[in-house]
Amino acid sequence: MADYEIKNEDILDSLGEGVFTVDKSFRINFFNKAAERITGNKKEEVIGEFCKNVFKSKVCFTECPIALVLNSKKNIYDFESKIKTANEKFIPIKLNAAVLHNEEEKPIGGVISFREVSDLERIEKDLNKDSNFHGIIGKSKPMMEIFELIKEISDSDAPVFIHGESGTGKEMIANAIQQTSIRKDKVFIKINCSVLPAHLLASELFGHVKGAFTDAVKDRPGRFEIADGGTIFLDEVAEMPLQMQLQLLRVLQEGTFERVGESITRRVDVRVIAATNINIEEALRTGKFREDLYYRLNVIPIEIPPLKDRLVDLIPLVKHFLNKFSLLYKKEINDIDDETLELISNFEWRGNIRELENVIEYSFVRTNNSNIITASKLPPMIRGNNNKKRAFNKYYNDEESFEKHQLLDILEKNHWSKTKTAQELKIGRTTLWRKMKQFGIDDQEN
Amino acid sequence: MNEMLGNQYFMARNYMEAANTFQSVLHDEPNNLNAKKKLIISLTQVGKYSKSLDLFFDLINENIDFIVDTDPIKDDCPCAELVNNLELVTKYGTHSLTTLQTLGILWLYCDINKSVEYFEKALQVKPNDEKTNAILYILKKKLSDNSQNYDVKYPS
Repeated sequence: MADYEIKNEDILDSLGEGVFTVDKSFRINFFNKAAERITGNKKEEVIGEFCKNVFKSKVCFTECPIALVLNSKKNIYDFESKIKTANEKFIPIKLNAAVLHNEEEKPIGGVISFREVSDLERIEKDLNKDSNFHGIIGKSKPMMEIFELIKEISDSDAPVFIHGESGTGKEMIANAIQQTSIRKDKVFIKINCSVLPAHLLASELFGHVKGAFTDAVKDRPGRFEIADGGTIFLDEVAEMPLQMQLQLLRVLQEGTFERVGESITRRVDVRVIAATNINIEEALRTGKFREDLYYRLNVIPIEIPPLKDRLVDLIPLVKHFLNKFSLLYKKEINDIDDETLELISNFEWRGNIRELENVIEYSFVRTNNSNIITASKLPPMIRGNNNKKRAFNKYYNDEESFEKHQLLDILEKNHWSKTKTAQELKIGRTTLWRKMKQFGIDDQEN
Repeated sequence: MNEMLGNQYFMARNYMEAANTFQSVLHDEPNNLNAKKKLIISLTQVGKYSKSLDLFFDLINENIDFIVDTDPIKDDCPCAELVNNLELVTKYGTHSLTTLQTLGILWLYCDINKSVEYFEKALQVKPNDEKTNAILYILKKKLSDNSQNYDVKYPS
């Protein structure tokens, strides 16, 4: 047992992301090496301290990520925040937060992982070279269709409604829409509607005036006012309380709203991109999501397929994440072995690309003294999936013709050079040979 | 509602939400001393003095050490800043029973002698106040346990 705990700590210490945990009183009880590096605080000095005294961020008082998770009962991903380092410098970070529960499901602590935004920006810039469309990896037919649609609507201000399972990359699609739009140089505001409780969400979206509620100590503009002239991305929009949905409908129809606690009507010009992962038909039928709002938002619908329905993107995604973690961890691992490929191809990926990324990171961290990830480094849940009947094979047959044509195109373009083709596809030459054999493609290299 | 969320509100000095959350926690777990201890302070900051005094009496009756042993810095107890604000009020001549009792409550988290001092002042304002008398008895008994020379008489 002790060995197991030590191993977990070693794994957490080898991460490029800062990780710390707190107990239920918000005292820090774990602080990994990356957290030490990013914040400049020594582990021995912060263990037992209240997190607010270490990070000294106003967020600790107004938008504590763990409190948001406790309130919404949903984990937070890519939450933008700021912390104060040991040398009193504020740095922007992106964080994920989750609550830890005991066997009775009572919260007993929280875990936060975070990265410096500057680090992320540098890595994203490098990785964008690999991407197919504004940072998005995807060569499958449904993804190519989405990219085409985004290009087609680039001159439009019409609302876009993105639907896709959790982890499919809705925010990345929203980013691509904004970056290709005529408002690309204007302000772009993002808000997750499911994270904030109803009373805070109204204030967050529409602003408030001093005295509107207990903590409203001064006037504050909402996100719609800040986004005037630009774009707003409303993630998890269907999680909004019904009253708020009505207010949102009014902004969409008339461009007007009032700050909380004020009767002055304000007018804005904001393009709305909304997203959700819930079953829309069910939400409309049960009255959880207003039909009139849905039709107003759903002018341009985009359906992002789950990863299991775009498995031809799996290898490029794996390669992309390997590149990313190589940059992050400064460790050269650039491939996976055939058994690993088979195992991850057969997995269900209910958490979609986010889950794939986590699995690759887990395996990456565990791989030492080798530049190839082997199956033994995969999480047990993936290795245990070996014997399961998979949807992949069925799907792969459906997609085979598409991939075969794609492969032929690239081979033609590269005059049947296997080296160049493998490089372009970011796969090994052996994998390329296997694919050619699978698709019955004869070698035409002279 | 859960205790951890209450702890966060309390840590962020959001006493209104902390009071609401800890009241729900105590509804489900009446013996949760941590929730009770923080709720007492939170209630003093949202104007619910009487309820705070009742809970304070319950807690010191049950386990006075749970308050007395508070380390203001280690436990992030806000009482030092709260008594500071409230004592400013008394400097301008406000010596109402409620203010003095509240100061008595808050001081117990930092200094039992000051707490006794304020409850005695409260007794001067309303000598026959049963609750103040009972609280003083418990506080003095605690002091007596700490020092054998302390004279404790149960209030008549």
